[in-house]
Amino acid sequence: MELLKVENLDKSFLSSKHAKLVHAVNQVSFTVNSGEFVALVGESGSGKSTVAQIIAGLTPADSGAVFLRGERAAYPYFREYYKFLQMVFQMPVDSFDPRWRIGKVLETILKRFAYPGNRRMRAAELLSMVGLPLAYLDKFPAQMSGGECQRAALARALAVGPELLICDEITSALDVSVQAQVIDLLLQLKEKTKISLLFISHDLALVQGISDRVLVMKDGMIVESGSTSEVLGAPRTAYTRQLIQSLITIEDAEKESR
Amino acid sequence: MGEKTGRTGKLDRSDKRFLFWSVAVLALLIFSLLAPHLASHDPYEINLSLVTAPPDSEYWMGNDYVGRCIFCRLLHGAARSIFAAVLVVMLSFVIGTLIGTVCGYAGGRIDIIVMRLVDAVQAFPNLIFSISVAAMLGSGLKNCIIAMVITGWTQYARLARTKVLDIKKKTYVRAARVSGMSGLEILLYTILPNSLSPLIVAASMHVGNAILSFSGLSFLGLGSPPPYPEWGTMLNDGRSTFQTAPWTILFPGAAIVLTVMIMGMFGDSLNAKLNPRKDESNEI
Repeated sequence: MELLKVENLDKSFLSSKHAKLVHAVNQVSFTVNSGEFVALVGESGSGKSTVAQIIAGLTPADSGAVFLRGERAAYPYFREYYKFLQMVFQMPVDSFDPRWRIGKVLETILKRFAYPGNRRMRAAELLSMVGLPLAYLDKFPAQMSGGECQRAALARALAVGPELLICDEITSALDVSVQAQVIDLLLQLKEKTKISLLFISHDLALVQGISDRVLVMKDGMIVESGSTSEVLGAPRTAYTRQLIQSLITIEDAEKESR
Repeated sequence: MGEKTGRTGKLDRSDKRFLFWSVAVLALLIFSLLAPHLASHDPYEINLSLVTAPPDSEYWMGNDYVGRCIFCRLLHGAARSIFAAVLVVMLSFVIGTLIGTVCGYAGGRIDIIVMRLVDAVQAFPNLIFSISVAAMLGSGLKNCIIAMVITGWTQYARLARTKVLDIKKKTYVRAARVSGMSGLEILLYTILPNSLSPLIVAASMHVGNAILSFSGLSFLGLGSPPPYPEWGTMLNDGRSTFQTAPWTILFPGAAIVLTVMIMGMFGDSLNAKLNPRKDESNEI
């Protein structure tokens, strides 16, 4: 089933640095099916984060449409849409209000989406789901590491029981060992639940291990798409080859250094 | 912010300083409320045999130009001088913060218009502007307060707007949106509380200033009408006699200086506590 469908998304904005119009998203269309992990890759500045923002209802598109489970979602979004879709952001610590303890964050979102049971217990359950100890209910974001905050952000996103999770560069601010833990967590989710994932990243190595399908973005356009093995195994465009090439070079360098 | 130190149960230097000055401010406020009941004489009682009499055991601070007890008048004036200042600050704070927050959040044309108005008000020296407004409205405590609020709100509006513009860009505001908060909820529960700390510091420093300008306005005869013992009015009363009887101006002056100092130190210590330079991690 088509869970998410975006059609001809288009967005430009005035760049403050160069004072010129940047065509960030150019006629982007794709779908995410139920239970599917889709990766959106590209260099920084390729417009992938803007696509995520548009789908999450954080910024309006200039034209085009987002369909959530077949229903057109117009900006600004209704609260109900966030029961269906959730998002985890790039900056882990910054994605929490510094004045709120993690427990309060989780209980508040459970309350807002009318969780019927004991909210404190559910919050504890969510924390254990992402591998954080119970004591973290009483912690402030500033008292936690980036990896811990990102786990808590996942717990917050999962609190509403979403069908689609958007992960916008969620590992790029973490160091490598912590990255692996967060990716493991996502893979566990894939096994245990029917959740779909839109995984936005510039890191092909991560994408390789997690996604079913890959979309490659360049200068606001999707230049290549297909199953992960297809795209990474037999890239059709020079740009994708270039991306893979840079990945291989890094791997070789790592091997050599060992 | 305070939570970390609260957890370990230890007070560092800025905590101690803050504690000391908040107790001082509290004592001052309580004292000013109780003061009229502590007076030993009627502050309005004219006694021509005691005109500009020096301090003695009965009249601790001497007598003024019509023989009224300066000590009793100071006590009676305390509540009004201090609470008028506090009222000015509270009104300015609420009005300014509200306007500034809306400007920062909404942006666009409203923002531009209101901020140019703020510029216009701030272009005048505060006291001069207050004097002209109070002179226009006529003397009296109420008009004095209105005049000071008209100049006072601008600093809060500007501060609040800047802070809101900064907070608005934070990831946690977007996260709040995804967590299902409406625009108004985000403004009230996320943006506003995170913008408050510099405003509170500004307010605590403003109290001392307000007492000073308030005394200034009273001194110029724009405060409460004469028989009422306002500190600034008392300074004015003492003007003609201070060469022969310096206590007529010394004690009201000292009361103003002391109060302004306590309020200022309180604001300073609050600032040190809320914005510790060594620990930026709290601000993220």
